[in-house]
Amino acid sequence: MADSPAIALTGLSVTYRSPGRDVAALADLHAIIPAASIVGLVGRNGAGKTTLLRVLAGREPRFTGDAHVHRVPLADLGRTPGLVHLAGAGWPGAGDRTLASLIAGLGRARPHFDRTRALALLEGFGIHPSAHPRRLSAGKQTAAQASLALASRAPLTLLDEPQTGLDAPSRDLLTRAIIEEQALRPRTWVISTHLIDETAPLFERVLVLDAGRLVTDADVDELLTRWVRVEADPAVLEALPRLGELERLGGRGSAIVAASDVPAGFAGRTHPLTLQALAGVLPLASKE
Amino acid sequence: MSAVLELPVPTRSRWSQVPAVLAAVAGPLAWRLLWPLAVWLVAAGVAWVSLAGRNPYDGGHVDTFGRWSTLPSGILLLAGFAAIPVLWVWGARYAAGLGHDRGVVFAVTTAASVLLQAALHVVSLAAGLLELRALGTGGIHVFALETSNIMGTHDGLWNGSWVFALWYLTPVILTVLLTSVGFLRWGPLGLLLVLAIPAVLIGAAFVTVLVDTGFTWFGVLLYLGVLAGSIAGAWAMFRCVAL
Repeated sequence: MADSPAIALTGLSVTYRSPGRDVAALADLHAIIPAASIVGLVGRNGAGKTTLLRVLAGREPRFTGDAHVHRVPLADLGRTPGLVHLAGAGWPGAGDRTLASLIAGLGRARPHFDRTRALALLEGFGIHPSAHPRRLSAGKQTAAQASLALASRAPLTLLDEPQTGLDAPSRDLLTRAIIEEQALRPRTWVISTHLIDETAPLFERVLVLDAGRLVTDADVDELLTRWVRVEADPAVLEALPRLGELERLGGRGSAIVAASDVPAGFAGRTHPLTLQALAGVLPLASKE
Repeated sequence: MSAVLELPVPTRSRWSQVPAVLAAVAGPLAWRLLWPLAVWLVAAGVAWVSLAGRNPYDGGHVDTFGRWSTLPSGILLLAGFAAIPVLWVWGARYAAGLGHDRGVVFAVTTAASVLLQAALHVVSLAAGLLELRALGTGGIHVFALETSNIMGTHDGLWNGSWVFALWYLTPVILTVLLTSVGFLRWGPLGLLLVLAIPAVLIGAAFVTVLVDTGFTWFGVLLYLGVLAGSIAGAWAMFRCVAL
């Protein structure tokens, strides 16, 4: 299992068809995600993050191409219950379930599910297990979903925007819980988020989606050293290949450039970029 | 990485999932299977009060010896059909969402959809027979199954009702099952599309073949063919249902 990639995507595409209009939610994705890594999945609204997570969880069977999770074809995920767990908005058909009932169901369906851990995490977030998920506040629903996902101990754990609605202490608690889980039971995580800088310390790898296309699949540290922001005379920056626009402020210019393109003895200042700043412009690189 | 090795890819035989899938499909306290009985008992209470009053219940049958109502058994029949979409739209989706094998979820929900109707029929039949045994042909009967000339005889109840349940209800069960899955697959458009096709085909086939010619080999083969075709079609739709 450790030798095989956690996720292998080959030409994965999802098209939502409706009369007169087809929407490519995912277009020809190719990626190999190593096992036991924490992967950030970023992109703007509608970029395809949730669709990708739903496909990986076996909840969206309408895809073309080839996709495997720990060598198991997605079509066979049902034969390996507990291999993947997705925490996202909503739980199909669970309107009559309390969290305790959900925990019991997951315990029966998923061999690695840890009920004690689930209850402890819920308690940490101040959620009583007798609560119905839909009657919780948005933040508590997110926390409850994340708690069940962490306790699932699934070899591939997918978190779809796990900070949505969470207050700062709860986000901190969730981050610490993920770190703790990864130390206790290393597994592969794919975490989609819009709070990129806050979550970035967790990420070892990042996938950037834009309009259904995978524009970046890279090691986070390598990515952050590949690009820098430079400030100099606009005339100097005009000569450099840039990522995005040349911003002008007063008499100075600012641009994102490849670190390898910064000339020796560069007459300006260079700044490291945050992942959030970089994620916003990486789609431009794929278009240029 | 080493600890990942300690987490083997969890595999389970498909059929070992059946009890857990059934529990998920049936819901807490199996309410998705049992709610038709609650409706039936309420209807029986209403029928009894109506028949016991001075004015005989309009929908009941009053003869020389007693008063009969088939309303509760009719309501149980309809509630049994109504339970099928409940099983699929909530139960099957929930079970599949937990991560159970879709094939097992489909098989269990299909079996539950069909067998539930038979189980409800058994309950209704048993109540009718017990009532008949206890009261004879006099008094108020709220669990009567028939108003025809077979009413009042044990043999008539057994024979007539089973033929009715086994042969003539199956197309309705399959139609409701198919439309439920069609709704899951394509939404309201799928419901309408799938509703029209089997309703016409199956209904026409059974009315013309079974009613006119009775139990012939051709009729039996057609019955089995429609059964297999409907279930295969439902599976083709269900395996592509997004959750």
